[in-house]
Amino acid sequence: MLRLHKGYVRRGEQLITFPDIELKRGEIVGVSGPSGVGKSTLAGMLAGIIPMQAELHSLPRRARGKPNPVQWLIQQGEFAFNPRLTLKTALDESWQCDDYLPLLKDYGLDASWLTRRPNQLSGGQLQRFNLIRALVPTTQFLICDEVTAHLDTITQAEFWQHLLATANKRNLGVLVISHDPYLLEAICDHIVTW
Amino acid sequence: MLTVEGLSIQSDAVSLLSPLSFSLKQGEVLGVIGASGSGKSLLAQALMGQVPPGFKLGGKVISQQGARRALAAQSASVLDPLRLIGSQLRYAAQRLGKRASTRRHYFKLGGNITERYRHQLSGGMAKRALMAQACWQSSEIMIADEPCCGLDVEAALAIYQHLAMLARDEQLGVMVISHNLRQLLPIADRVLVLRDGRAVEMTTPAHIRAGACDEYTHRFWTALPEHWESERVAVA
Repeated sequence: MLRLHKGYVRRGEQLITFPDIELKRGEIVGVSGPSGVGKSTLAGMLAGIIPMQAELHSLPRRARGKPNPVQWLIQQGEFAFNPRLTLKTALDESWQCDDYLPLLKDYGLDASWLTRRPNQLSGGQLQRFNLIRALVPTTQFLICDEVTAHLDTITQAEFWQHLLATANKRNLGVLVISHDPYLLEAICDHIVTW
Repeated sequence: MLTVEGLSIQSDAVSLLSPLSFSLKQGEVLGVIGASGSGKSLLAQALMGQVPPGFKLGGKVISQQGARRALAAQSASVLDPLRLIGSQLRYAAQRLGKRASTRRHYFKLGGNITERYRHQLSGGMAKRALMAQACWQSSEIMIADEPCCGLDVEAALAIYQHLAMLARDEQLGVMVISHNLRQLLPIADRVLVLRDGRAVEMTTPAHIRAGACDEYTHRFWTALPEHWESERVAVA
């Protein structure tokens, strides 16, 4: 379980406090709040990348040399990939094999696009590659930080369709950070409002 | 008024934008929607006379009485990183002259934006600075490329309201490229739909809501989360 109780972080003079979060495997939890309250910082803390201060917290243990069981997906796929590497190099690096190939078809991605670099794909395509990269077998939780904010509505609907199906199949816990109340309403078991 | 006749972007082998024709009147808000990669931003750039390297611009863009056009780009990367935002905006304002001061109340630019550099702005602040810059640069036609991507609902609403006011009160012709139908439709007079670099149709918000439009266009409307058929419908 991913858990945060009375979490806070100090930035200079500024104190950011976080709402309490509990995310079990197989659960979809939404987080909403205005711009600038620290939603992305929260995502970073839960992914164990930004040091966490809290009265009580628990994160899944990360085995040495293995990928993080909590995978953080950022807003723009464009910034998630190294612009110099092909998609194949990027995906091979996280998977350490090519077992992700069957996933490509599920997500409507063409295997021939693997030879391309990030600037040769659209935002929606990159975001799907980004998700597949995060779906390594060790993943237990996904933190989705405004992942479809830059996508058109059709691409957005397809993206969530795929993601929720995978989460269901693999019993993943998903934290959805979004400004869109309708989206959260449509996909989440419950919503934490900042 | 802006009249576009057969505007296209092509190379010998590839066509990025097939010939497009439409008009944009003063006081009108024209929405442009389409999937990612459909050529929305290319259209905006083509209207400014720019094309990607190796491609040619075809067709004509006629602006009556030399109506000036300005583009508020999608990304803050177009702002000069080495100059204060305020100084860049003053430069834009000089070109517009007297009218800039009456437009200064749009997009609420306080010292927290003008006295900073590009990298010190949040996403919302950067969008407002880009909008203000375009609205001060242009007295006739303003093109806004994804003005509210990544902003919270209130901030996005404020920007859309300002765009509508610019059209209504200042008689600008405003073209808004957006995938946020929820916020675009209430302010748009007409909507141009693009798919793979071609125009699907020119329609109106009322027609989209009612489904009296192309099937492809209507999919953008039905794909909004509030129209998903049931909870977790997506899992199907």
